[in-house]
Amino acid sequence: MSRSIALEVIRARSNLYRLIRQYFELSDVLEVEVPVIGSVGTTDPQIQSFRVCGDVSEAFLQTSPEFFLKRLLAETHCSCFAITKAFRDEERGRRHNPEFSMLEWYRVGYELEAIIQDCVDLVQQCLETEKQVHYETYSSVFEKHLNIDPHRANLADLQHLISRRTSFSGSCDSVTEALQLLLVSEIEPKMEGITILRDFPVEQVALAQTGNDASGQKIAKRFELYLDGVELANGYQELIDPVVQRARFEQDNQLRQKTGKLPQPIDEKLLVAMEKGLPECSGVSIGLDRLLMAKLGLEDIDSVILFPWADA
Amino acid sequence: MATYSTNEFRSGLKVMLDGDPCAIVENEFVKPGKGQAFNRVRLKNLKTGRTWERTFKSGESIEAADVVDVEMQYLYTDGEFWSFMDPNTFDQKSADKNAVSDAAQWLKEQDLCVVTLWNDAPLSVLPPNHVELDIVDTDPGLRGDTAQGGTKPATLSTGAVVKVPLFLEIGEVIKVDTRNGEYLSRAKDS
Repeated sequence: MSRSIALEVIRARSNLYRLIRQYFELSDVLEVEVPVIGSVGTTDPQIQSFRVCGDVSEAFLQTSPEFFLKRLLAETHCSCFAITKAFRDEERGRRHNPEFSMLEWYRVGYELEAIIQDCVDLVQQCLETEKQVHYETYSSVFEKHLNIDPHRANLADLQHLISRRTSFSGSCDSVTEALQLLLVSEIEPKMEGITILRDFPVEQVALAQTGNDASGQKIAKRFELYLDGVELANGYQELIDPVVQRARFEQDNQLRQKTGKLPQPIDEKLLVAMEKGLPECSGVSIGLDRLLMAKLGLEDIDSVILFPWADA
Repeated sequence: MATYSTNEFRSGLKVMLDGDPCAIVENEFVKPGKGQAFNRVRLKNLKTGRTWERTFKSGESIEAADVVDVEMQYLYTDGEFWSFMDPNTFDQKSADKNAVSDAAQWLKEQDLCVVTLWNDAPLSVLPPNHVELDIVDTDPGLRGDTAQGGTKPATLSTGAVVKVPLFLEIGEVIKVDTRNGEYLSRAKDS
């Protein structure tokens, strides 16, 4: 990276963080600091934590500040945000660096609708340009682009569609995997401006609450924000029930075992906090390196990270 | 059999796909934040030269292709096969028409070429960037026209036809860039 480019990137990042802090200051969301290293990692079958081995102890680099922020929420009942580093092993590419910067925030009392609007407002403010916003659901994009109902499609039909439309010649293990492949290869490239994708299939509920859409279909109260086809943000109307949360952790570990990955310890401290009472809330995380890429019109994450993976 | 996992994919890596040796041209990692990761890969089929796109699930493995580039000296052709020799081991290989393909028109005895071997057999031949070849046929030279930019076709000893300046004549040796087939200069010692 040349000196002038490095300086431009440094200034743009500091400007971006200033805009974010201004945005939250205006609505009384507190900035907090949470650990990037903790006693447990993630159970999410699709995300791998780095395990850190010291001479005397072992710990995990955090894949997001989510669990610490939720423990704080249970304690304080205050809306809060963190700008932090997150770490995910095996994620390396034009839009992925194993160490990356993340903004995550929670708004107490917000439902999915409200947090979506909040996220759109923040992104527009950060980009400093008015982008057109398209509101879609998981169903609407699959119907529009592939003429299928993602909540009812079976694996055989999806597999057929994949071999006809995509360059993937293998076989998918599950409906979820097939839907994700179709989403990244057939739908994301067609998205323009800001696209909100909401109401995910319940199999992809992650840490969101479930509910019913207008047609009575059971859905996950989860959304993603895309900017010109690039996934920037992921948000939930948060699950607050500790019993369901434990079941989801256990389900994650079962899926891990089925796919040949090691099960991970469950965050008991989070569950204790949830038993004490997590307020009704919604939260979002945003990949800040990607937001910065969008702001600067750059295509490669390495161009906004001063010391990318190969050089760190 | 050696295999490569998607996280080892990088451009230049040689792999087997549908029975053909391929070189990875570009490897893109795509992953929904909360979902299955995929590698979208562009590959060049080393037999046909065609470029393919393929998507793999991250973590999948594919077979490595036993493809190596060896610098070899071109010896001779019998019209059907072209013979090359490794100057270090004196090991000889015969390349067929498919392997030699367009390189045939630039091959001069004793020139060093890069021969790509797949399972020890020539798959393709890359001639040197610059070769020196005799003009065997061209229209008569026009003396005194050296300053003009005009060109005429000239047939070289290998059969290649290149555009040369008007003043060149039969029997002269010229230097040609094999990558674009363009005349560069008269050979130094002609």
